[in-house]
Amino acid sequence: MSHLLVLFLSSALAVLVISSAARWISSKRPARSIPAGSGPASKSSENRAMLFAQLRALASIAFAVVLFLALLRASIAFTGQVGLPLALTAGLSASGGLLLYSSLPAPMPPRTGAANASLVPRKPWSFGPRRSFLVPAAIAVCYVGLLVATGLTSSPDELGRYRLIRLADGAHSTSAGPYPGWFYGVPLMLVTVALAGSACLALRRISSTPSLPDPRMAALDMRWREISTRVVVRLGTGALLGYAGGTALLAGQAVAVAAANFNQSGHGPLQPLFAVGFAVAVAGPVLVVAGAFLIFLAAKAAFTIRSSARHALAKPADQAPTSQGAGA
Amino acid sequence: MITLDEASPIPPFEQIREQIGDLIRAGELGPGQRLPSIRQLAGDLRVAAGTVARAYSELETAGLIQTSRATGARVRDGQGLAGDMRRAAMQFVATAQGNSLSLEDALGAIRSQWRQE
Repeated sequence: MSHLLVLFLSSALAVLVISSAARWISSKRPARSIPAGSGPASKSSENRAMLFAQLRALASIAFAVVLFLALLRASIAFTGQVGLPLALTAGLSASGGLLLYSSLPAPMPPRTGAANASLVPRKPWSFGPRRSFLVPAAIAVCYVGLLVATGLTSSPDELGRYRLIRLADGAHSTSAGPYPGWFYGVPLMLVTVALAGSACLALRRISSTPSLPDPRMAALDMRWREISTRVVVRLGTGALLGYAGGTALLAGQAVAVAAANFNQSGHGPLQPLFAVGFAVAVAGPVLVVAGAFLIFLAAKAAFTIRSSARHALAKPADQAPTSQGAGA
Repeated sequence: MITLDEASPIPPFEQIREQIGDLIRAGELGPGQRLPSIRQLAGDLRVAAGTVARAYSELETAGLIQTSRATGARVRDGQGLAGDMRRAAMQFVATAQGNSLSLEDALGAIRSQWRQE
């Protein structure tokens, strides 16, 4: 386990080094001078402006994938931890990617002779509808609730690890596992907190990045923030759904197996516990698939920030997405 | 939207103070409206945070805004010009633009008239 911790700390150090290097390069590069014209902004200047937004998202995804592979390799090598390092891998990787996203500096703006600023305050929740932030928060709360519930109903195994469910009635008792009791639950709660915290930092980075210097790109500036916010929210929601689904699958299976084995009088599985376990076990894969789909959508959006932002601006005004403040 | 002219001899904090003050008096920034944080405005205008902080501080001293650590900067009530003043200003600006006057020339005409009254 300590090796996994060392690996994650090394990854955190890598985030620090990469962001410091990017900050240093950004400060050393001389600011270009571009004229601020009065007509519409050129396609090349819009492309240039969007390039950084896309690069930042792609670098973060690449980092998360590399971190996932490294942690996966390390966690497979662990024995005796009954899958705990494996369970933490995806959440820690997603958190690492989001942390890198939030720590990469904003690009040096080109000098135009004049700088413009909107007087509308930007908040992390300004670039999406309110429900898009409430849904992942509700999922996180429900997930922590599920972990606490499984923790409270868990029993220790022969090594004292709370990872079994035990049904007992007088002389009869049966147990089943792996069950997400305190043994898995507490680290998973910490991963949930890390995921939520890193997503909040990434959203804060999106809102605090200085606006594009050319006032003709105000709509484009809004669009890249909206798309990036959607990427972060979908990534976080997808990861949470994946965890909730995996946990539900394990918990449901263990409960159903324990209820099926608790067959004292030959009347079949203990009801309604068996039905509840079965239903939860079936819901698990559905949640996992939904989470994977959201992560796929987030990755797809991250790869196409540049074209999506420009494409959305080309649409007629009545088809354009909601403006800033929709969720404020 | 406010604009900072890097070539202007007017100090940046003064440009910020002046433009926000004008927007408040003209009623474009209404009572209670939130202003962006010092950090956001400084980032967008590519100036030091202290420059924006000084502009906000002077606006607060002038009674146009109120700042607090919890809620940030907000426009104070009753700072906009009265409706008749705004209408007169609009009429004057339309006349000045109709006569191709620059802003400085138009302000000069007001200054001159002000001294005579």
